[in-house]
Amino acid sequence: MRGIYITGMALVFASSVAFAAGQATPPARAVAQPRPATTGNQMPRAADGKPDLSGIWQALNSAAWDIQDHNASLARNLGVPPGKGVVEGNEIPYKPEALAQKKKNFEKRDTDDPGFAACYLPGVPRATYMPYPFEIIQNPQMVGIRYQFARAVRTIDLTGHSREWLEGWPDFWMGDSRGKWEGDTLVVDVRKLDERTWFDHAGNFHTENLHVVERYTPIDRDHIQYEATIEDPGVFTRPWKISMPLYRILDKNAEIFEWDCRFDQDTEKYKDAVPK
Amino acid sequence: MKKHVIVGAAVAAAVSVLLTLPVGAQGRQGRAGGSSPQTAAQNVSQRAATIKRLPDGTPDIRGTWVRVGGGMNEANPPESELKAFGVLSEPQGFGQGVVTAGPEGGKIQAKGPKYMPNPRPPAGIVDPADRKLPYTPEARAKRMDYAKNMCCPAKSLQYLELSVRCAPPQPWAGGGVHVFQRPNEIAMLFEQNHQTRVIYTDGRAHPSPGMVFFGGHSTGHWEGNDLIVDTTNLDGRAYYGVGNTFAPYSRQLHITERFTVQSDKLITFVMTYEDPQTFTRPVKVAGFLYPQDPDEELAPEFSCHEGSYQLQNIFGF
Repeated sequence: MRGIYITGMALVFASSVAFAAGQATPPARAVAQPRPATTGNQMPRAADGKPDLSGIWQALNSAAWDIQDHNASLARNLGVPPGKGVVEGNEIPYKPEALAQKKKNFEKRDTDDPGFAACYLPGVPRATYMPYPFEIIQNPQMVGIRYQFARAVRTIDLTGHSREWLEGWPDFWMGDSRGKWEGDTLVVDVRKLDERTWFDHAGNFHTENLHVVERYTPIDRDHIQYEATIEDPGVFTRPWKISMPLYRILDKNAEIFEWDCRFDQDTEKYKDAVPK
Repeated sequence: MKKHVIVGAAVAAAVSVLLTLPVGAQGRQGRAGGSSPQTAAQNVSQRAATIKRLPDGTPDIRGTWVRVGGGMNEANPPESELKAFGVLSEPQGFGQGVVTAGPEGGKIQAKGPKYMPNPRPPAGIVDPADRKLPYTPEARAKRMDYAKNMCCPAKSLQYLELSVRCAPPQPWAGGGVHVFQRPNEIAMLFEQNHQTRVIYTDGRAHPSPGMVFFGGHSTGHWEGNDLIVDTTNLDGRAYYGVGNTFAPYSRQLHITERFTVQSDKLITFVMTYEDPQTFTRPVKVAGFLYPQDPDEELAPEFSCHEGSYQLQNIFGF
């Protein structure tokens, strides 16, 4: 049975009125080479004493194409760069039927990847390792993230706002994020993620029960260690983890520019079309 | 179990009609009355209590705000030259997006927002005084061409209203706005269509003029309690409700905004639109921001492309 939800502007319209009204232990594998912290080169601190992660960051890997170890392959014009995966132990613990679905997804990745093929909001954690920059901007009560890809945005509430009101709402492409500081690590709990995003171009997928816990830990001024624990009992037999460093973009006056690639795709697709 | 979420434009059309139908309500939103922005702002500032400040002395405007006004709703006389084309209301322009009109014809809010200022500062077109947009002949011709060909169906893709295509509504988008503030930038994360805007306050220059964005590129600086923002690099296309007309901006459009922090609970602003290809004189639009009630929930995601079948429905593929 497929439920039909109507959201978007209608939802916002309604909501505007209304407003006015356990971690597993995966096999050990050294996926990162943390740089030793050096004095004088530490992450700046905000006025509240927390690490100030504000800045423009980017993952430098090929996980957006495949989060597991992968060879080069041809896709579209250029293809997929070869690369080491970001999954600890390299294994994704799919249930057998889910693994079959992943293989089907893989076969249709050039047309069905909601990220690279459709330019849809990439979801979490994929937004982090799309091969484009993103900006973290931090307030004491909220962390905002602006991703270049698909103009994706997240707001991470740090105040402990209740989530109960979200019951009954449709899921969100970028999920609902709530954060807290554990020492110098920003821990973000992400739920209500829409089932239609993929983890990568290789068709790794999840259900609407996906639960992601992200950890952003400063390495030094220009590097953050990123970790995400992924849980989805509908698809996986146990939680699993990805990790990677994030690199600060140091280019002068770097900016996250507006890029609506879906709009551009539509412009090309319908440029000579006549309304029916 | 699969859920289908029909998001955005498919529904946006219906909602936009709702938004555009209550002409009276939109008139209310844009009504500036006889008072000048300065007078009203002074009245407000006399009541102003405190202004929080950052360590560098600038007003601290971090937090979640609700915007009123800023739209280019014209006075909307019944003899509108666009009436012949079935156009329901006048263009709303870059300031479009405040979702205020209800299906019953336009009560502004279901319940009174906690921090809505009383009296309300001006909102809408404040100059020219007659609230009619001073189009150049070329712009007026372009606008009429658009009105003739946009509906229904639109003649072609280029006549399709941009909200139907989930174009970024900018530089202002509707709904609540989360404001982040650092010495080098002020970032605004909007509820509507996950739009964002950054105002760089580090003295950087605009990109080369050939780089254009729906939201343009904004730089700013503080003058006391006023934040002066300069926006260029605009795409020239703007975002209107279905049934509205195309305000034919050019890429020469230059927007200057003056935000005045009146208190912790009120920011007033005046936007000046200059585009010699479109307007014979600058147009000034006023509005204000008040804090969202902290007891209210934060706005959820507003996606658009992801659930939209609007283009498929229009073109049949």
